Amino acid sequence: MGFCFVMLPILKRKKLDSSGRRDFLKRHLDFFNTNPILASYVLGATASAELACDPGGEPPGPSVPDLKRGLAAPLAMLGDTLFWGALRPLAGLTGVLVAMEGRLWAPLGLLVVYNVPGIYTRIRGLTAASVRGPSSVREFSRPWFGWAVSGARGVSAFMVGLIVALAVGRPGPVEPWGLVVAGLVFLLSIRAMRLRIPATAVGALAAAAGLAVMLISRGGTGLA
Amino acid sequence: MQSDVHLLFTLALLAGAVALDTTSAFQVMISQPLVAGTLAGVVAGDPGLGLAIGAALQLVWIAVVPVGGAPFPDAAVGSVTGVGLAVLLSRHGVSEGAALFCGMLLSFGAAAIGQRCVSGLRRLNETLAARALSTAEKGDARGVSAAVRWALGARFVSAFAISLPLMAAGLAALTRIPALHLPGSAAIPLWTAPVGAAAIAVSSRGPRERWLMGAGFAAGMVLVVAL
Repeated sequence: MGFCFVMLPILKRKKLDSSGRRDFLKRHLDFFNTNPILASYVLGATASAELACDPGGEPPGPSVPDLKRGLAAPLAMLGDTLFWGALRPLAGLTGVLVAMEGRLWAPLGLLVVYNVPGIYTRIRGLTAASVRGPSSVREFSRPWFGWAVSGARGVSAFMVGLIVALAVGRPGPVEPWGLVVAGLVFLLSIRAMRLRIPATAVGALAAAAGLAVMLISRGGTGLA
Repeated sequence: MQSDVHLLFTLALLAGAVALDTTSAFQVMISQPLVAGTLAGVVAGDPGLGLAIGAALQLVWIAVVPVGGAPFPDAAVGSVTGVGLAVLLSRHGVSEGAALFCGMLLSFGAAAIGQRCVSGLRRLNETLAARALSTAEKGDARGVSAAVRWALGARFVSAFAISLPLMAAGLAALTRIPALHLPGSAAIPLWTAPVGAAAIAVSSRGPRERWLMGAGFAAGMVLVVAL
C-alpha cells in the first residue's frame, strides 16, 4: 500500500488509460516488504522501469513485479544487517553515553549517527537506482559493507561495556554491592533472553527489583 | 505550569505523533526511547527526567528491531507514557526515585499493550489494502491515498488511546501510595545497563564482540577509578 502510494507521481507522469492505470495500481498493491532505508533502491529502479515501458506496458528489462521481487529480499537482508543490526544500536548507545553525562542534546547524537548515513543512503538509492537500475545494488557487495557492519557492532559492544562500568561506578566510589547487582542482573538477563523471555519483561523485572530495593533501603545502600 | 489534564492530552498527542515514526512513516528514529522520552520530558517541563528514563529504556530495548512481520514492543508509546507518568508523579510529591521507577514500569506495560495493538493495526491495514485494491480495479488511485491516510490515522489514534488512560490511571493510583512519597534516589542505569549489555551479548555474532564488551567494561572501570 505504501509502495503504491509512493509510486502515484509516476502514475501521473505516465498518462495511462483506465486499464493501464488499473494494471499499474494492481502491480504496486502487491505484497512488498524490505528494509525501509534500502527500499529507495527498489523505488528508483521501479520508477525508472515504469517510465521506460513501451506502449504495451512492458519494460525493456525484467518485468516490474520480477524486478521488485528480485530486489526486495536481498535488500531486506543487507539493510537489516547494516542499519537495524549494526548502526541503530550504535546510534542508541552513543546517545545513552552522552545522556549519562547529563547532556540534553544526547538525542541529537542518536539522530545524527543514524540519520546521516540513513538519509544519504536513501537519496543515493533513489538517484543511483533510477539511473543504473538493479545493478546499483552491487555496491553493497564490496568489502566496505562487511567492515562497516563488523566495525559498528564491535564499537557497540565496547560502548555497552563502558556504559555498564559507568553505571556501576558513578557518581561516587565503586561500591562492591553495585558490582554484584550489575553482575547478577547481567547474568540473569542473559539466561532469560536465551529462554526467549522478551527484553520488555526482563527490563520490567529489573526495574521492579530496583524499586523494591529503593523502597526497602530508602537510598541507604546506594543501590537505588 | 500546565494543568494535569492539559498535560495528559498534550503527552498523548505526542505519543501518537512519535508512534508514526516507528514503522508507518519517516523512520528517522524520533520514535527511539531516548528521543521520544526526552521530547516528552521537554513537553512536560522536566527534560532531565525524560532523558534519564529515555536512556534507561533505550538500553533495555537496544537490540529490539521491527523486522518483517515480527512483533515488537511499542517503544515510542511506552517512552512517552512512562515519562509523562514520572513527571506527573513528581509534581504530586512522589520522590524522584520512585517516579523514575514507576515511570519505567508503566513504559514497559504501555509498550506491551502497544505491541498487541500493532497486531490489530496490521489486520486493519490488510482490510484497507483490500479496499484500495477494489477501487484500483476501476483505475482510481484515490483509494490508495485514502487507505494510507486511514492507516496513519489509526496508528495515531491507537497510540493516543493507549497513552492517555494509562497515564491517568497510573497517576490516580500511585499518588495514593504513601511509601512512594518518602525520599529515595534511583540509580536506574545500574539496573538497566546490564540488561542492555545482556541483549547485545545474546545477539553477538561471536567471541570477538563479547571480548570487546569486556574490554569496554574494563576501560570504564579504569576511567571511574582514575577520575
